[in-house]
Amino acid sequence: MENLSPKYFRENIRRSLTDEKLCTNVKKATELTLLKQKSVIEDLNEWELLRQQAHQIRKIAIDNLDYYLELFEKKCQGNGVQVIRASNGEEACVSVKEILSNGSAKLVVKSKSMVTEEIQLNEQLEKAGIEVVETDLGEYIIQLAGETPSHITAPALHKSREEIGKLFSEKLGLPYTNDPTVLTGYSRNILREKFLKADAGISGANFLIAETGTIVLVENEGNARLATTIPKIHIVITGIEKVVPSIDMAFLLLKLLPTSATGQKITSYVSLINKPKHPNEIDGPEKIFVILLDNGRSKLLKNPETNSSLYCIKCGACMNICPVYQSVGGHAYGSVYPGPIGSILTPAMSSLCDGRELAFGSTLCGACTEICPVKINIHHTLLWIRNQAVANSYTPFTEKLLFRVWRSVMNNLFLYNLLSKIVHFLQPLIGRDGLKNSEDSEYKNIPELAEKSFHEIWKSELSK
Amino acid sequence: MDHNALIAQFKSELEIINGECFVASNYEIAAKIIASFINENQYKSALVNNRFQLNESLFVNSAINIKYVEEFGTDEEFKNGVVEADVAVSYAEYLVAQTGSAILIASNNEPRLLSLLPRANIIVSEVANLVPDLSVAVKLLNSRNLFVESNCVTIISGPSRTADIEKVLVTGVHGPKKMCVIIVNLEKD
Repeated sequence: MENLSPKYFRENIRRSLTDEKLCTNVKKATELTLLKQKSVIEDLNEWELLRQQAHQIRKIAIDNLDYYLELFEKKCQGNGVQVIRASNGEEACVSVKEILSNGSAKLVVKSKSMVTEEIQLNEQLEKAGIEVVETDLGEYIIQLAGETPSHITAPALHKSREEIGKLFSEKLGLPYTNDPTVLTGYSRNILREKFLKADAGISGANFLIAETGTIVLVENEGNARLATTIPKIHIVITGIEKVVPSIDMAFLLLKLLPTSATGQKITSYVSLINKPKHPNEIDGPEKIFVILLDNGRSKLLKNPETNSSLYCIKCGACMNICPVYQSVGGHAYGSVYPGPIGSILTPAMSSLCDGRELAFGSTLCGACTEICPVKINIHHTLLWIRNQAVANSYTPFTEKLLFRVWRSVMNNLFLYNLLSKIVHFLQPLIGRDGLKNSEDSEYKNIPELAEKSFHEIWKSELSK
Repeated sequence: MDHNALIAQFKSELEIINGECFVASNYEIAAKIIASFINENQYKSALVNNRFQLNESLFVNSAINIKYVEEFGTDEEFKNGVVEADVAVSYAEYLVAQTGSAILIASNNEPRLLSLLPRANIIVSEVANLVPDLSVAVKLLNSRNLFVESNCVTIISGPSRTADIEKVLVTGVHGPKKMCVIIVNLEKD
């Protein structure tokens, strides 16, 4: 198990890279998703236009966040839905515990929510003597294993079917199988019982529609529908950035989210929840609460360099395409939100000092920016975070010194030529083939220097 | 686009996402399709939206238990009834050709759990409710004030599914394993 803090990023990366099984699982899963996504995008020939519109919609929402949050809150009140603002995780957890104890709830079913991971809600509720059951299959697997999600849309992506089969037989005493259909059947039966007995359901939200006070939930399994229908109490916990001005805008984003997340045109279920159960109805929650969590989001919002990261609709595409994520998996980041976008969100939610390492775990290739459905300039923002880390002296002094020397050499032709001559002269001492597979270069080889430098060739060619 | 082209698109989109689609020229034929679906799959019981009346003589096996949503007195009785039912027969306000989706609106006729708990879900609607894409459906819902006045609107596209284990597709995780749509085309001869 990796260290659950971004502080140990480097250590975790080293460990992940030696874990062959993990590398194959992650690579296989991310590549499959990317392939499916590509075929849907090719079908939708308007992808680039959709991305531009989605970017504008998210920009309007984030630039006027206070206005739309107030509108959403007002509409919710009209719908009989109570809205609670929480400035941090602790406040949110306290609110949830209060709602649950007022409703004497002992058993809670949860549908997938990264925000509840962010505020470590499960731990807090368990401490208060409340049984919490994750009901998304991937999350249920992770909960049984006592781990955290390694991807925001496919939390158990790092596990093979054999590992899951073993986990089910060890923890649940069920006959071992590696057949995904049978394993899924096991969880259906166990979780169905929990759903029917649950006192409260907790969900996140994919979008909040301001003009109608609607909670939008996107899913494939049906567990979010069950968790928000069977129990008498439904609690929504979500970040303040999820608000979207209008129904039409929400539906445009709805075209992009499943495509980017799983390569589907639409998910099996999209629930648009407006109000609790009407006396005429025979099912549905009697009470709905929406907890709007800040937890560092205002900090991102105030900074023009980072506020576009709040446009994120949490599809996970930047993780799938990132060469670093593909090689090390989500746990190595030691943060709730892994991958490129996670490297921007994490320092804001904890502190730059704790999360700065993550921004350095990027090749700055820009694949994340290219795939982002809402066109967040992810790799430029990562570069800015690196810049801040250097400016705040969070990087080692020797590194700073080295770059200062490098800069003065690169700015001075005489020094540059002199130094390259010295290196060339010294090369035979370290071997003509360059440094290969030596202990100092575990992952990278230093190539052999050319017989003649570019400058020398240039000069001799010119004199001809 | 004419109805036939829309129906063809709807059918092919729904089949891609593991759903089935039938066209019936009237409600009686729709009932026959439902009966043969239940008989073929050897299901034992069905729970039906109050809007439909199924001719019970259609069911080969008379042991099949057909119930209507309105028959349940209390919420608890309904919950137990819907858990036990093998098949649910639902009504969709709109069908969307581009994505193979059905749009259901929660009501006393169409409870939220009906299309969710049974093993199979049959959704019935008329061809007049079939629209090209989601944005048209949203406009129509809005023009009838249905979007804001409904407690819960659900868009269903295929059966319940997951790919959480090694990206292998499995249907029927928490919701129905089978999902089929019957389009009633009254204009057809």
